[in-house]
Amino acid sequence: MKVNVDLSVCERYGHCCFEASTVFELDDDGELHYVSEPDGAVRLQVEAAARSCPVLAITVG
Amino acid sequence: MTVPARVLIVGASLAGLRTAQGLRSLGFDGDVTILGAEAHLPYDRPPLSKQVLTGGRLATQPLAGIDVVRAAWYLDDPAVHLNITTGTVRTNSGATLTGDAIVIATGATPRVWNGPGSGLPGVMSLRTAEDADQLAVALARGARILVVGGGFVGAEVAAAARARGCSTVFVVRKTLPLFSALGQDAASAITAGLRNAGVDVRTSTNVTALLAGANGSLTGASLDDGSTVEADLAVIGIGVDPATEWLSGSRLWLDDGVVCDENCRALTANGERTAVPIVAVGDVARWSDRLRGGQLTTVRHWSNAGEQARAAAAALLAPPGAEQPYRHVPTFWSDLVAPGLQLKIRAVGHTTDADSVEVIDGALDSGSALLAYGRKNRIVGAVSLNRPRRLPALRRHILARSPFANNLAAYSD
Repeated sequence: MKVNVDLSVCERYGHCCFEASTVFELDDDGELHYVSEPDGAVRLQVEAAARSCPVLAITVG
Repeated sequence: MTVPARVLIVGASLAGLRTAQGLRSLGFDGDVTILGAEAHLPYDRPPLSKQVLTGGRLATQPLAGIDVVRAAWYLDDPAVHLNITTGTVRTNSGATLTGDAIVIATGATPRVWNGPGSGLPGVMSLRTAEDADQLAVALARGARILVVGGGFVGAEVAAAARARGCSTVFVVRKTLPLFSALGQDAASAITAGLRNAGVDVRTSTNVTALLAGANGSLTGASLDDGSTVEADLAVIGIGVDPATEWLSGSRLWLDDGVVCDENCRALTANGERTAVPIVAVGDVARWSDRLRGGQLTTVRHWSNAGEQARAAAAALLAPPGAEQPYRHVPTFWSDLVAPGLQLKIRAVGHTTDADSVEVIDGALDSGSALLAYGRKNRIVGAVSLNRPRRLPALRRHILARSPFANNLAAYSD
């Protein structure tokens, strides 16, 4: 599966990290890092992460 | 319970819209009607005290998802009465709408200033798009701002006012702003940041009167320390009350919100479910939270509105006995940004009723700290001030009801 975060929209709220912590991480400088092609086994978590984003910066393909 | 043919959602904001989305995503193909008190399609409220004030964002920018819910919208017409036996809602204009299931999503309304000077031009709350537009115009004009009330709305407005270069006095009844929400340590750091940005923070202080000039408009306020402050606009942020007035006389159980069981189902004053299924979601809902031993819980944050809506939609469509209890660890945020101030506050769990707080990573005076909140020797919450990396791990420990510890190592994965 493919994950994309529009970092120009992302406000670093970090909700995605709660829903799919193996895919998304905020570092201690507040920057977001993510796995762009995670294993399909985490699809439900990634979809929950996309839903949880207050600015809808995450697209899942 | 049979699946309803018509769902009537009362409240056209985030929680109402997300309930409709939840119903559609679960395959519900019946009628969805959404009744709203405001004239707008659902819009997002968090930006009203942030980007709308400083970034030129449109206050009424519609939320995503409106196009996919296939709803009939009745806007600008508040509900005034609910009959829980027939599922009929009467509106302010006299219309009646009936559902086989009812979703209560009417949110909360700001408490107003009732002291001397109430109702003066220049005294406002911040809840709606119109409020935010009015405040944004004032900030752009360089109005002198008085913020009354030490919650998140107050802190965000004070920061936004400084970001726009406005003179800003922030009057807080408690010993510190955000003391109730986040406790002494985080509140001290945030207060220092606000002061560094030039906010005149008056703690342990009450407004005794809002003052009017010769033309009848606000000129300032007198405070109980004997001083007077000048202001062109007073923003009152002294809390909200659930919007349940329209439900008085409905025989629903109302107690700082619509009291619900653990499946989001509203209960009658006798503690029973209603014949016509009724759920309550978002700021108006007070539910029995299994994660807190059944304690009646209200979470007036953005994330809860969406998650509770999804749970409530599932509860309305679930076969008898198949309902899942609504489990939610609160998540909330606040961004305070102004010259000399850059604080991203990220929080999880229940921080308000903690009996212990420890800085477990970073340091408060460095502007980057992670705090753990405990209650009865369990971790119940965590707050990041510019230090978010370990929050997901802490959230897992909150869900697992792990013992409270004063060091980060105890909260490894």
